[in-house]
Amino acid sequence: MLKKWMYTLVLTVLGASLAYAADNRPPGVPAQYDDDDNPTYYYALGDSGNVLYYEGEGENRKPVYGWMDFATYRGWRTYHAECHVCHGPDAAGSTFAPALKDSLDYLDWEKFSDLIVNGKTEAQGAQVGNAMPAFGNNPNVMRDLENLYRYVRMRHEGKLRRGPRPPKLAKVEEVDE
Amino acid sequence: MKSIVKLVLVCVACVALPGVVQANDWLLKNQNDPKQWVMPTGNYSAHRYSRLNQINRGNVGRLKMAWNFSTGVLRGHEGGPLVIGSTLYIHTPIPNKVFALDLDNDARIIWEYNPVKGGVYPSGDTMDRVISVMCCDNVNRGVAYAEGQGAGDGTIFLHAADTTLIALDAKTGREKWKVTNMDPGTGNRGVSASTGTGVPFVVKDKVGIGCSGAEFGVRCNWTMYNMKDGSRAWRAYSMGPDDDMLVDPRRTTHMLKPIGRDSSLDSWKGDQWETGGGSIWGWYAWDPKADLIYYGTGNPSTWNPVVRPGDNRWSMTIMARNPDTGVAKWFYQMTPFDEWDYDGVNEMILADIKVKGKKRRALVHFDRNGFAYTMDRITGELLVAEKYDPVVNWATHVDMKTGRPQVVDRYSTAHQGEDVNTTGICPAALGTKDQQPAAYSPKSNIFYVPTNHVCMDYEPFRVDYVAGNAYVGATLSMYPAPGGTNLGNFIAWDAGEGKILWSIPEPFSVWSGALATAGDVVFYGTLEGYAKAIDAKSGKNLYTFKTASGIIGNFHTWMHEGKQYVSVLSGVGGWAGIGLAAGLTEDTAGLGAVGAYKALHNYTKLGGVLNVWSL
Ligand code: HEC
Repeated sequence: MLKKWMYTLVLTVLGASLAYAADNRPPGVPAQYDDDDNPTYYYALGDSGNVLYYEGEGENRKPVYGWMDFATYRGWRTYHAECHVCHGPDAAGSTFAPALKDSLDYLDWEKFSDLIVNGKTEAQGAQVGNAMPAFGNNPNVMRDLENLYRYVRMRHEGKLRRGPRPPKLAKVEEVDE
Repeated sequence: MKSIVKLVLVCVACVALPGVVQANDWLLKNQNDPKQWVMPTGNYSAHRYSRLNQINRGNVGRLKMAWNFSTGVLRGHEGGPLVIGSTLYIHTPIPNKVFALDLDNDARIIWEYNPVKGGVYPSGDTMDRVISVMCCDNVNRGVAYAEGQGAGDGTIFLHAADTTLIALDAKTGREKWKVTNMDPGTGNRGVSASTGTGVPFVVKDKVGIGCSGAEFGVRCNWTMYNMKDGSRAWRAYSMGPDDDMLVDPRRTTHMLKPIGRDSSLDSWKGDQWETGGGSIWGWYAWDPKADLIYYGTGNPSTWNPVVRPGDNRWSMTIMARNPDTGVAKWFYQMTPFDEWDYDGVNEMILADIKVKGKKRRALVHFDRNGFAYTMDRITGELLVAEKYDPVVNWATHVDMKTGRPQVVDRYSTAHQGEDVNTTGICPAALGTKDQQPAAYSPKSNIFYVPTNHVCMDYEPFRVDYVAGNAYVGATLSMYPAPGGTNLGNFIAWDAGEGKILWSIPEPFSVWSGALATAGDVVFYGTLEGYAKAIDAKSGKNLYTFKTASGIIGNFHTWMHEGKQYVSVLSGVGGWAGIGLAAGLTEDTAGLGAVGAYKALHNYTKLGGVLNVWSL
């Protein structure tokens, strides 16, 4: 049972805003939710500077420039501190834990967050020799639970490239550091 | 009455002569028998060299797969087998099974041991819990063997992932004793979430193990147990009060000078040493003449250097200790105040070589930080410290007077600060080399070194310590070193001069331990799964074979019924498998950019197999 994600918010905001010049970073935004109240990401486009993602295939592949919101950026950071040792860089998977960017094909926000809070043991159906730890009592992860989802969702929907630290909008008060 | 007097006399003798090596030391004798492979490092000097030459430069091209053995376990297979007489012992990653194979009987299984029963390790922790606190895959680097001196007619020692040290009867696989060293469970500050990956190390009548868990704020230590009953002989912490570290402030030296009182406590802010890391999980050596054992300590935790000002002693340190008492003779800290996760745990190779023209009893160590060190192993004097990959840039050089690396501000993650992304640091946290051990051939006088050629961006940030949880505090992204697309090199090194002699580029990090032989052939494996034999002088490729899975195990050789065999575990995984499975960077080939995209999962899949070749 696939859940249909709502992109409208991101799209309308983007549609309304022209691309910003590389040295003219637009203001930050609070952490975003979609129409179903699921955490989501936000980005603004620039005309040059930092690559946010790539569009097209082969010869037609071209970079798209811009900035992601600070909440999603925190998700990137926490992912690479807490999860990448098992799930590989950029939510792209490793020799033993799944590529989370693809897991969102079948995991919605509820299931995703439940897995992080409670983990998954072999007894609960993890592959033999595998285990996903429970992070429920780890404040370093719990404070970014929504942001982790924002980040993985952005990767899932192809709006964030792989590789080094992504460009971000300034933080706003709603996102505590 | 008479017998009491005798007893006292005997005991006086052992106290007075603790360093005397007993003539019947089985390992000391048998390490020189090239037909066997009696310890993971080949010999006590960690040479990974064999005097066998039936397989040689002239005929290695005709090597054939003789047999292979599936371990039935997925995930990363590091380390390799022991061959004792006509029995081969091989271990697996979690659940840490051990198999004894009968070489007289077509490698039939004599016995099999599994420490995990009903999903639970001997410590009482579930296998799931243990897996969830392994930092970098379920690896284990192998078992140790001993005979006599408390080990009876043969004992196999297994250091299981839950930190339990298990003594098994080598003939039957039956447990003799077991003792849990640390604690993978939750709750205890500085102990929780510790795991075991490193080999046990037998010296005289004792067997020692280190511990892993610096990414979880464990304060690690080296602990020696008496082989006869598993009672603890001594424990030396990597950091903390002098008594915990087994140092003598007036006699233990660093750069030839006494370390003085509270050398560790003075180098940490407040009580941070209590969760200070300094894990020990590499390969160890013993010089029986000097009666010193050698090992290295790992990173201080957290990975965020800004919150732990000071040299964080004695993390990132080579330690030389007396094996009977544990008291340290000398330390050398390679990376004071680590800012990049350059663990100092790699193998210590003892070689009597000419260093800058003068004969030395040297210790050679290829550190994660990209410098290869040659030390005087008796005094701890620093003789050579040179980069063994020219891209290393975080320090310009090592000051030979103070022993300190001269850190470049631009690549200092502490100088750049919290929440700042420091870019272009070489090497990456993986190091120019991780644990995959190098080999030394006394015949060619060359060190053969498997290396990584990867750089990184590193951003430290603040995290809270919660016992039993990861305590990392930095993000990193890795990519190929500038100027090329190869992620690894296999190099030949002159440790006397500190120079690369030649270097073979490999598409991926070389994560397998090397083997040098008197047949003038050197063996190593690659992450795509190739087993390779090269000419020991020129590095020319002489033989390549693609195994079932990527190789992160170490090569070994032995002889049975007049035939020389070469073997290696394949079974991709480990830290390399995590980092490289999906490749390191975006596929930008369509943009005409350098094709740096290399996803290991397009080359190889999981599965542990012991591969055995002969002519
Ligand atoms: C110790 C290794 C480890 C760490 C650390 C880890 N995971 Fe996992 N995770 C796993 C494994 C292994 C699985 C797959 C279990 C199975 O076989 O179903 C998994 C599964 C998952 C799944 C389900 C994926 C799917 O396709 O079913 C999610 C979501 C997840 N992890 C999120 C996270 C996040 C977010 C973090 C960081 C906060 C994290 N994990 C940290 C090992 C880990």
